[in-house]
Amino acid sequence: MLCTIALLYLDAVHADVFYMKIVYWICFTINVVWVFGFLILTINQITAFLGIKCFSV
Amino acid sequence: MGYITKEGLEHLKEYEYKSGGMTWFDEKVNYFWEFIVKFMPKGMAPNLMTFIGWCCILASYLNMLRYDITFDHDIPRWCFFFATICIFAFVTLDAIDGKQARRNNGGSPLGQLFDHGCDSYTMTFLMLGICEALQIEKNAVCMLFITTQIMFWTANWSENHTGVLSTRVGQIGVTEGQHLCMLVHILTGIYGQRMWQIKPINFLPQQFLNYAKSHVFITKMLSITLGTTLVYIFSALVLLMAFVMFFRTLPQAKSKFEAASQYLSSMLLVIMEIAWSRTKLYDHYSGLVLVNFGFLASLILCKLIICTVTKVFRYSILDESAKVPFLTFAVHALHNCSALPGCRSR
Repeated sequence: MLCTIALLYLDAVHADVFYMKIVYWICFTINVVWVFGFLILTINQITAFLGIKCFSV
Repeated sequence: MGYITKEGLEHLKEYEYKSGGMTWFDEKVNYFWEFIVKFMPKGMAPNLMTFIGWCCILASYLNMLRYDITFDHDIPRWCFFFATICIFAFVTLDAIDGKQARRNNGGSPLGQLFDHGCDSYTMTFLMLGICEALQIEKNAVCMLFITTQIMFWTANWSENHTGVLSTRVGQIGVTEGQHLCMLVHILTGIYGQRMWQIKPINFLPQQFLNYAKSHVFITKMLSITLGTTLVYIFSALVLLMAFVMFFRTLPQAKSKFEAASQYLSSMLLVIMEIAWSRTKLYDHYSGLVLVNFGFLASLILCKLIICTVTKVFRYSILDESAKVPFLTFAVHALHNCSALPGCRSR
């Protein structure tokens, strides 16, 4: 959300695409870490509770 | 410390997947899937099959991304044949992972999360691949992306409240959509991307064109390309299906207010996507911007799937509803930015 606001502001003030790219990559990195962190934690939680493995029978 | 509560973990064992039924086409293709699954090693984990399918789709889009990230450059034709093979592999693996799980009694709620979680990530790359093939205008790309996300979200939201995952509306469902994608890639591979650049205006009689000249809207509609027209029609159909599913599910929900607020709060992401799509960055890096939103949409969807399998009403978007004031500000800024100093008019 903060990245969206930052991006809109940069767009509004006619900022160079370079600065927008920085905002984008920050946002992207946060999202990827957030997504994979969440998935790994959740999969570990489920496998530990059910006593199963994710990639083997 | 994970996302699932203790209560949710207890409910995990009770979860049972209920399919929303098959379409006519599903039943026909099912013979092939039943045949193929027999050739899979019995010890192969269904989640591994899902993951391989996901990697195939990722590979097909990354291959296109090497040549174009803005949906307006030409891509070598072999990329579309490669994408067709990748989609075929994904569709087959996605269809047989459940059969494989039943074959070795390995079905679990984790499989549900993994399967549909991967599907949601796949959908992003699948749609972007189609946009690359059709070389459509950026607004249409954004619209296709948003409508398919809404459809996917609606199906999973519906399962959350009815206990049945419906992958179809009438005789049209996910399998038909996936095969349509394959068909688009094959045709693009054979005839090239230019095939979708045909404009209806070039094929209409002069008399009609003279009439249309006086109507700006009709002229505009006729001057859009075949690819864009198809995307608009497809998006409208998908949106219609989502609404049908929404109005079928809502009366069955225990708390209609909670269900409706849960559904509508997901629109926060849609509005953010529209906001990003109106910036200069989107013109230069549209593919990458949409990949970013694909990740976010999938994350939200995975959280919803967890709510479904654990039968706990703990919903992330509502947790994040504090963001709404920021959103209001963003939308306000977007619409009024022409009034800001040094800003271009839209």
